[in-house]
Amino acid sequence: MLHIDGLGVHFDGVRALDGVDLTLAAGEALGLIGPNGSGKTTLFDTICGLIGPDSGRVLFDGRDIVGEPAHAIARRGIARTFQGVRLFERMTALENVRCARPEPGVTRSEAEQLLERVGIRQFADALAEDLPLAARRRLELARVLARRPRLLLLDEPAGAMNQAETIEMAQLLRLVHAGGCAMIVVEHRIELVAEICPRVLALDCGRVVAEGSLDAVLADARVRSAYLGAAG
Amino acid sequence: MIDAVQNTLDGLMIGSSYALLALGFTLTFGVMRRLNLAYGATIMAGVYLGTWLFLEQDAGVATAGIAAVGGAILAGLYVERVCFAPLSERAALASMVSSFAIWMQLEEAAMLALPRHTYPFPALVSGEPLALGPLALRLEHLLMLGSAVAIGAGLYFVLQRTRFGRALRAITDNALAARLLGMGVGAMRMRAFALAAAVGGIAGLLIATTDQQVTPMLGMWATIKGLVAMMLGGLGSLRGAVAGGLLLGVVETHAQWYFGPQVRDLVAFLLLFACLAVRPSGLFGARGGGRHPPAGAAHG
Amino acid sequence: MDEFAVGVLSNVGMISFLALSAYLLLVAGEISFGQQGFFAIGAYGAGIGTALWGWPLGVALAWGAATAAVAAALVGALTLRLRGMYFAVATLAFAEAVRIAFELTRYQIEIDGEPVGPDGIDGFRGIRHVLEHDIGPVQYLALIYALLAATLVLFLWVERTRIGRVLRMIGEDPTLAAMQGVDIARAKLAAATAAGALAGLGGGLYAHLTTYVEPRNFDVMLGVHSLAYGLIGGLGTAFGPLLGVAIDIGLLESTRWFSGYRMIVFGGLVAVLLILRPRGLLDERLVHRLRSAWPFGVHAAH
Repeated sequence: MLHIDGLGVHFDGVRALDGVDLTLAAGEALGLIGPNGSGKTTLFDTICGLIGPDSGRVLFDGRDIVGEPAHAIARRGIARTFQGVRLFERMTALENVRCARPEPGVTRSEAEQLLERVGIRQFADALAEDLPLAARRRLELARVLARRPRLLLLDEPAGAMNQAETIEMAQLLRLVHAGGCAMIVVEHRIELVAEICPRVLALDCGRVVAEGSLDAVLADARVRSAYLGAAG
Repeated sequence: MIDAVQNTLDGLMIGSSYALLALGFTLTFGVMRRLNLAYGATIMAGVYLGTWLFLEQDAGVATAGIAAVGGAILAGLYVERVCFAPLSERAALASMVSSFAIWMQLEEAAMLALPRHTYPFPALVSGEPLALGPLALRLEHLLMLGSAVAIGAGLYFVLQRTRFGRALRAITDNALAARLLGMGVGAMRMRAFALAAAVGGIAGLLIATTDQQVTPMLGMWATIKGLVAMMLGGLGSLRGAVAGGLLLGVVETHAQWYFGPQVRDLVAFLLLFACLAVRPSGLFGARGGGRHPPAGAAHG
Repeated sequence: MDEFAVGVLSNVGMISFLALSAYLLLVAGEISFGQQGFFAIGAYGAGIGTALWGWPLGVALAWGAATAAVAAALVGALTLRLRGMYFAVATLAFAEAVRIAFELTRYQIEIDGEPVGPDGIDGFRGIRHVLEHDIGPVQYLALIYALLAATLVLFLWVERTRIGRVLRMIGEDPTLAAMQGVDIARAKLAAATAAGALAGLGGGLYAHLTTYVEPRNFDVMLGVHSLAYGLIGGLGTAFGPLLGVAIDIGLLESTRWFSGYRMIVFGGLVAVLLILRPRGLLDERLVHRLRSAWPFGVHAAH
């Protein structure tokens, strides 16, 4: 369903992405790991149309979507979350979910059901900016689910969460995946990746350095040096 | 033909006053990324102070001049404290709107102090205009042109070659990092505003001594002309400020010659609008500046 | 009713259209220093409609609003890709260009032996439709408020629908809005056009109330005021800008307490509010709390 071919992005002289190839089948869950600055979020931004790549193609359902405006790409069924949760802070949780699909719109009851599904029904009428972090992440998840996406891009869904919260998030994502949605999950918390992603891609300095099962990738020498080298 | 050359010459002269105004604007914007719309009003506050001293206290042109620049600096610091210091870096637009509100305040205060439509202001230089063949050059205008070039060069030197300038530019690029490194961001910002206000005060003083009169329209006029000149030349560029000012002056003078003073002002605004619609980054600004970037995303 | 009170209330009503115009754009995330330009277009347009072309008042007002809307759409198309600060300055440039253009415009027709129509810098006298048709001040006041009430109902209704949501999404986080599939350019253009129409309607009402308009009336200060009303009164609801207008015209201008110092106080208010309460008095949070406390729950079952 998604095929990325030789994607290259650079700004201010830095190569954020350097010839990235990636393939994702419908309904597949792919993990994306790599040290900070390796280009994971840039990859998401490029797929979503927020950044225009300098080279390469992004084929979604066989069509090259490079150059399409971001809102058009979103309407093709691609939804994403952001590193550090991005919500409409001045709206309530319920309104946030109702915003997810401006056309044809999300009904009040549908929104309530989604909040129920992610476990934050009780926060429906609270302002987004007042919610604790775990609730905010679930709200973001509810919002992307409301879009009934065919491809879900999750950027660190368990960021800054403790062990217990991470496990809950992993379970939630499992359920989402079971619904048939394809996903790419960027995550540092290995437990979550292990739980959900049978296949993993490792990025370093904008390049794919390893691909395979999680264990195989983690054992790969290049991946180890990428993390250890970067951690310094 | 002679008319065209004389007009161009006159245009360059008046343009140099615009250039001075634009330089001050640019200092605040180019360095601080904030648009200070109270700029003209702070100049007016200073010039009105000088005028008041001249009228009520029989001050000479030197005293009035120092008061004009000093008053502008004080007003500039007031604006900085109220509109810019308390609002975070990301609230640049709020600062801009707030500065507009303070413009209203300063203008009303000035008009309460000196309510008439026009007041005399002493001249700085006196003498016959220089004659270059069939062309005439007023001495005051030459002084203005010289000042614009000198101050432009001086500001460039300060920003590029001094510690203060380097620190200021560092703060613009990354205020958080600068703060963590212990640079007194607040104090630096105040000094930048004071410098910008001083430049403005000098501009206002030169304009007042050239026209030998002061009117309540000074604040609005200075803000608009400085803004147009700066935007034409490219936000954040000192070279652009001077170039934009001179260009504006020349275009205006020609427009006035052929069509009258109202068309002159109309042309200035249409030029600005067209510039923003077509090439918001101006003559010397960074390419693509002014338009929304397609992304708003962070990079991880 | 006291003539002075009628006058003040009429002013408040008319200026409210301008305030709502700027408010609409603020909610969509744009700062416009130029709504007074559309106010002017509406004033001149509607005035020409009744005084020169003999149209009924309603038609003329609609015409004023329509021409302003078209102008706003044109300006919007040219400027909406600009970033906040640049957009603001572009709107300022536009409005000033409009004002000066009116200073240069003469369009007069002989009616009953007298020239009637815009006369450049001397303005446009004789917009006397209201007087000629025996519409008294109180009746005109009723007209203003009927239109304003209708507009308000429209705003409050839109607020709770998809359109309102889309505008607030764009206003708060355009990138995120795009990620939900919102076509930002189209939505902003629609908002700008609607805002232009509102300002134009207000302008038409203004011209017929005062019977005389001149370019000087539509200066930068008017534009800044229209912005300030929303910023002071609050951006959480359409009542916000109305509150701002009431504070300025109702309190500051009409009482003797502040005479001579009105700008100083008003300017200071704006600056202070921007520091302490950047979304104004009736901000989204307060509106949210009021809605939760409201026992009627009219909007709860949607």
